[in-house]
Amino acid sequence: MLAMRDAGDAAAPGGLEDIPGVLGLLTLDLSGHVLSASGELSGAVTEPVADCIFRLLEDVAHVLATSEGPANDSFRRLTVALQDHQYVISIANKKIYAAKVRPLAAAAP
Amino acid sequence: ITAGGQTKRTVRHSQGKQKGGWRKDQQQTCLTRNMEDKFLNTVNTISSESGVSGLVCADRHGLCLAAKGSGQASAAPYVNSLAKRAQLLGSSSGDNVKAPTLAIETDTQTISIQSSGDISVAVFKPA
Repeated sequence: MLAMRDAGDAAAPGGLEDIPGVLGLLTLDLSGHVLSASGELSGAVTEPVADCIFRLLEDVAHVLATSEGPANDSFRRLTVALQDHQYVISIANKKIYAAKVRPLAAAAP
Repeated sequence: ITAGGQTKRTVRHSQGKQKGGWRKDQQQTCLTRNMEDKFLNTVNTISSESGVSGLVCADRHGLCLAAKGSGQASAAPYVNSLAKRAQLLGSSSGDNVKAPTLAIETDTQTISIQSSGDISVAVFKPA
């Protein structure tokens, strides 16, 4: 179970598919189980990507636990920037949301 | 000891040494001939830049090479693991060209992580 201080019980984000440049979406619970997948994150890549993302967040939790920030420091977002796309991962409403997006410059119409 | 009871010291000089030890230029050379100096100088340069509150360097096994400021040595294995997993995520997307950059954002700080060769580096910046 992922234990990390996040933004709290914010309203469940909706309309993520409408964000410009979104290539795929993945939703996990705090145990790493896939709740939904769409776009380029659906199909055969869902499970490996979900596993990778969950383990990334576990390591993030350890890094934040060992850093000298304040005790009530909340995790906001993890961004993994790759060559021509990036993954933006956040936690809200006890769920993990991961979006595969094109870089902002490429996403703009 | 001389006949008058005074102590007389004889200083032996080897070639290249002046009385009292090494020449100054030889001392300087000795001080800079540590193999990790170049690395440590780079670490100090980065961690002293404005806006940087901490830094952690880890080798390919996750062992801490350097930790400065708000970066703790105990974070080194996780910094290495994050950099490796990000590369796995990139390779699963068919992207093997460039090492990925991670950014961990919290309310108070941003931690940027990237690997270069066998070294993974995390730079801590206050928000």
